[in-house]
Amino acid sequence: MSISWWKWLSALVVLTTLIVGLKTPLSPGIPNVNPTKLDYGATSVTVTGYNTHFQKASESLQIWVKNGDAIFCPYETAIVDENTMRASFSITEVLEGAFFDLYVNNDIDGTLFLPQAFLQNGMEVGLKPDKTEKCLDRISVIEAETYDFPNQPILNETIRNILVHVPSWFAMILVMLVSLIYSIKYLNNSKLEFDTRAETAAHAGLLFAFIGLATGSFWARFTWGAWWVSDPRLNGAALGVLVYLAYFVLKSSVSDREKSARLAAVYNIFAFTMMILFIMVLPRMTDSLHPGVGGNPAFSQYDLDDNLRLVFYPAVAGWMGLALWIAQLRYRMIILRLRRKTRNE
Amino acid sequence: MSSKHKWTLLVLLTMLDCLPTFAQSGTDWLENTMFASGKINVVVAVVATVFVLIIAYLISIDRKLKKLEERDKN
Repeated sequence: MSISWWKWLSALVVLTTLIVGLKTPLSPGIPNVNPTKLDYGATSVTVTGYNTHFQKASESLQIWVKNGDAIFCPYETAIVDENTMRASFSITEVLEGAFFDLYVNNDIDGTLFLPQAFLQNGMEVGLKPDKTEKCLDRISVIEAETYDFPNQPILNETIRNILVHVPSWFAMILVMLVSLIYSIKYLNNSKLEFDTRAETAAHAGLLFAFIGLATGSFWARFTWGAWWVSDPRLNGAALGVLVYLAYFVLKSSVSDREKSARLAAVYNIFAFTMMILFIMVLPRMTDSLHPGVGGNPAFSQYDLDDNLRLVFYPAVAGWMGLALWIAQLRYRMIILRLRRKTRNE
Repeated sequence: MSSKHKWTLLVLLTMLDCLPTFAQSGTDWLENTMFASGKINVVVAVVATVFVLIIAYLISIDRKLKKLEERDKN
């Protein structure tokens, strides 16, 4: 075969991660409740589960809400089907906080958790909350046997996006680094070949940055509720892309080949530094919605989940391979074109 | 038509030829897989097809470049 092994390998790896990423089921969770308020006195709520086994595990099913340290159990529950149940709470106590977290536990699904599921309505919130009696008997802990992805509140099924969105950014950073290295090499020995390599790598990097921006925007729309939010991480990414667009503008605006190569190489060092600053350093200094920002390390909320990592790391490697491949294709194309040009002249 | 294209065409035609046999030999594996678990496998098949075709395109560009490079050397 005339195609190098690493190209086949990265294509195969990305394909595998795409398929596994789509096929792996999501672990059980509680995406929503209705209504989202608990009134003073009695309230009946409908709890909707996802991939849950309310009926099958009805013997061990327990549901409770938590406010501060206080735990409240329903006085009545009814199971509608595997993914739906109703529970009636009666709460008149003085509370510690305004929100109730919801917990559902059974022998098959383990403990399901929806933070801030309900807002209190008409109750007294005070510094001295009432103590509640212990109302839970046995909480089953489930050792995960099936291979599944974590079911995070708000994220739900979209957690699979992490296998496409994040690797595209990692691939972008890698080819931009390659571009930087060739720019420095060019400044060392002024071989125009290195300048072309730097340019084509940055070109491929830009493609992957646009993939990252587009996928991120789509993901944001259906988790945060807007196509674009004025968030340091997002704006940083956009600025990083702009800095590299300027690299191409600069390169094409100088007609002298040697001069444009030298200018672009110097600018590329600046561009890479700015890009790293914009997308990795500055966002960490403020608060942000985006994971990996505002002091929270990127994968902390998935840290516990080895299942996702098992697919995520190969995906990153595969995407990096694809980015290098695309960069190399463009480089070879441009070198051919340049050679023909010089021969014709 | 180059010999490589002929081969591709032949393989494609053979595959098309096999399709009715798949359908006839019953509500067997293909139907069973595709209709299972909320038809997610249809999505998997579509995504995989798109990706494989993009990769095939990249491979064809790579091969053509290699040919041109070799011609350039001589």
